[in-house]
Amino acid sequence: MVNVEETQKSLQIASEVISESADLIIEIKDLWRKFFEGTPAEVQALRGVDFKVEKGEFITIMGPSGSGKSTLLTILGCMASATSGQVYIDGTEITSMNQRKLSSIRKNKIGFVFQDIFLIDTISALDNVLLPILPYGIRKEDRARAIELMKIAGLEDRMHHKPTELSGGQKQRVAICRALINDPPIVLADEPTGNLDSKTGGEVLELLRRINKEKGITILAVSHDPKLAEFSSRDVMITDGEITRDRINPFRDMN
Amino acid sequence: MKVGKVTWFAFRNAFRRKIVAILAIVGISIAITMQVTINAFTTGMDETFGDIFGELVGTFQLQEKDTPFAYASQLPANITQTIMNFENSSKIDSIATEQLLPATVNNYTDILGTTVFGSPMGINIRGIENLEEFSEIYSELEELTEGSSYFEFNQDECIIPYSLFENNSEVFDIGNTFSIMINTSYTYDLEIVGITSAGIGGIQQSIMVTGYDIYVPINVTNNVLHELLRNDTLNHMFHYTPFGLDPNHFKIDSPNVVAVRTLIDNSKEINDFIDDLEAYLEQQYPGKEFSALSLASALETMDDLMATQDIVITVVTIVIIISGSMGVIIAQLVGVEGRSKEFAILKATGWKEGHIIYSVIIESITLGLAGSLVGVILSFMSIKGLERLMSTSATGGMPFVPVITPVIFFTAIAIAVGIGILGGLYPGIKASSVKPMEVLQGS
Repeated sequence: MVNVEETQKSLQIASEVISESADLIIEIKDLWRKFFEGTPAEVQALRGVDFKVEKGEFITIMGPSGSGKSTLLTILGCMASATSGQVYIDGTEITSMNQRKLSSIRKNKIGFVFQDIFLIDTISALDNVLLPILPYGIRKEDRARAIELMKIAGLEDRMHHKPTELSGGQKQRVAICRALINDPPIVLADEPTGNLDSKTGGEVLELLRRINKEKGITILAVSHDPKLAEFSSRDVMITDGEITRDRINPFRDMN
Repeated sequence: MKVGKVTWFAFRNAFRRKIVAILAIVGISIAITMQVTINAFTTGMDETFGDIFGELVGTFQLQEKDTPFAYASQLPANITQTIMNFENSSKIDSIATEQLLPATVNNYTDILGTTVFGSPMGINIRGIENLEEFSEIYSELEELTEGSSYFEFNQDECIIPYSLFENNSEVFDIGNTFSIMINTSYTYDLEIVGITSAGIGGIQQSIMVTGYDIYVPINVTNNVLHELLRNDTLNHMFHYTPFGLDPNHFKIDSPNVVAVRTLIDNSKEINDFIDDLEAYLEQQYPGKEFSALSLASALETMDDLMATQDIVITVVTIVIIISGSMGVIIAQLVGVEGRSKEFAILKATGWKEGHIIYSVIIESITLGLAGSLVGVILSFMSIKGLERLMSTSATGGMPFVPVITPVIFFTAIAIAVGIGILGGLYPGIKASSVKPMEVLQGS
């Protein structure tokens, strides 16, 4: 039985709940993103978004198609520029950074999970997990870490299998391990269950929740899947480039 | 960047899209087959020419200008003394004199047979100091097989070719007398002291066989010719009268062709040497002009042809590289286009643009190398096929042997690497420029 006070708290704007002294991992201030600026086809994808994320949060960003949620994820992922505003990743402002520095932030701070899983078929699941660090050299401890991640993902008996020998859910779990191989403090997930059925989607969500809880990794996931919101600690609704709902999920641990 | 890991990854990736890989390899292998085959043939040709003419580059025959080479020019044998006083004489290895005597061996006509033109085979009298010295000139043809290579008494002795001994050993053998017919009642007798390994025609056999080479001491050349000219009006007229020449001009009336062997081994230098020697002789014998018959000028022309041929091959190679690169570019562009998601993921997960470009170039180089190896094998097979085809044809085989040398092989490898770099650069840049979110959201 949920008490009334908790329910009311959950409906508060979460950003207001986060105190100034909170341990922020992401902070967005008055973020604007326009496409086709100055033309008749100008689109305001993001309209002055203000948004704070504490370390260890699991946030689901929801909204209709074209609402700007993926644009927000793209900017947070250092893969697109903002028209104006500031974005701080782990205390570093990124909107004025050059591509080289953005690439470094992307490598060290952020892991990506995509709807399109895409694993390379000719190499093993373990090698796919290690792929992001391949150009930088794979150390013994990296391999050990990849194996540990795959064990957490329940893939210990699938490490040396080729992607063609894995199910959709297993593939996405490999992709999540790949996103975590750089030990990033943040994971950005774009429709991580979009291509999966409900059962395998559930396995993936469970893995995301597990790494969030056990490893304290901050997760921001864009999704249409309401089930994802149930797994997250906070859900955000974006409509027409603005945050129209931002609430803490008090029922998370019950799901 | 850890080059080894990315290289190995890219190497394996090269064959992931099998159809694209096969098309690229086929394209490159055809180009490399052409390139290697052409090079193998031209190298074989070069080597054959080198073998045939290489040793003769430094040798030339000196004569008075505008006199016919085939018989005697009007030079005395003792002009060799003058030549040895030439300032560059240190470059001279040996000098010999030579005289063709077409009508002086009539008493042997039945034994010697006739030339391809039906005329009686003649005798080339070569005046030499000793056979060993002279054998340096024509070492492959002229080696002593029996008897002495020296003229013990330095007069009225001769060394005969094995071809004479072989069929008529009862007449032409060591210790017997070789009689040069001066006229119907007078012969000049030479004692046979040695037998060379030479076949019919000696050094001339590869050009035009007109007689046998008989080696005698240089002074004997003078004596024989002196007697011949003194007693044989026909020869005298043949050698002197048509040209209005004075046989006494050179203080001795024995005409010879003078063969000079130098230590020089390239055609340009020998031509310069000949020019200097001619100028020197013209200074020593005022009013006379000299000319030299040398393979060097022919070889120089051949060198020019070879240089032209090299230019053609270079152009063909460039065309091959460009066309091969185009093939790889097209194949790789198709491949890259279909792998945009892969590159997007790699980029999103931390690969830098340089990593992706490098990876794609290594894939192209891998395809280039594979194509090049297939090309070398195909060209080897095509060369063997052509050899077999020609050996069964009326030509009776190829006049030279095409060879795939290490240089040709490594050139093919270098071309493959060049094709890989050129063919992979643009697709690599294109692959690295993918925008991960656009590609992945688009899916």
